Amino acid sequence: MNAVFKALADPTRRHVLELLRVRPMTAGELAEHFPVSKPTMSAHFAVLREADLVDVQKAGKTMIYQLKLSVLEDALLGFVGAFSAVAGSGADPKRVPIPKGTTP
Amino acid sequence: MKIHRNLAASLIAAGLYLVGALALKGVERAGYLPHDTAVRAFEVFNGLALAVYANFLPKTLGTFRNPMAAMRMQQVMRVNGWAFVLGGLGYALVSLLPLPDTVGLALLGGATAYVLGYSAWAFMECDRQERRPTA
Repeated sequence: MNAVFKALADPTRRHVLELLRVRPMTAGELAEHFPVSKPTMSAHFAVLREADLVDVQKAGKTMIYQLKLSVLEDALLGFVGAFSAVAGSGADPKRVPIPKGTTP
Repeated sequence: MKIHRNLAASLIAAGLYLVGALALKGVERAGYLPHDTAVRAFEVFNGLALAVYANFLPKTLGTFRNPMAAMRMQQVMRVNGWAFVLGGLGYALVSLLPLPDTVGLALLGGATAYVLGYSAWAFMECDRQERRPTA
C-alpha cells in the first residue's frame, strides 16, 4: 500500500493514470502529454508498475500501458486529485483535456 | 504458477466462508445469538465479501490485441467493480439496520442489472464500431 501512496503522491503519475482511464496508450502517446525527458517518464512508469497500478504489454517495439486500478485505488486517485486541486497543488504539467464520452 | 496462487486464494476464501458460517451456527445453537442476528451477521459477511472481491475485479483485466476491445473491457471491468463494491457495501449496511431483507436484495439486484446492462451495451458498441466500414 505504501508503493500505491508513493505512486499517487506525484501529479505527473496521477495525470498518467487519468489519461489511461480513457484507454490504453503507448509510452510515446503518454510521453507527448508531459514536458519531461524520456528517462524521467520511464522512471514514472517504473513507479506505477512497481505499485501494480498499470500493466504493460509489448507489441513489437512499442510498450502499451493499461490501467490496473482496484476500486479502492481508483477512489484514492479521485480523492487525492480532488484534494490537491482544492489545496492548489494540483499543478499537473501540460494538462490535456480528456475527451468527453469516452469514460463510463 | 499464477493459477495455483489464485486457486489457493479461492480455497482459503471458501474455507473462511464455511468456518464463518459454522461458527455463527455454533454460536446460535449455543444460545449466545438469536437466529435473526446470526442471519444478519452472515448477510453482512456476504456483503463485505462481495465488496472485497469486486474491489479487485478491475485488476483482473487481461491483454487485448484490439485497442477498441481493450478500452471497452477496461471500462466494463471498472464499472462492474464499482457497481458490485457499492452493492455489496450497501447490502452489508442494510443488513446492519432494522430494514427488511428486500431492501438489501433490491440493492444487489440493482447493481447486477446495471452491470449486465452496461456490459451488454459495451459489447454491442464495440461490435458496432468494429463492423463500421473504414474510409
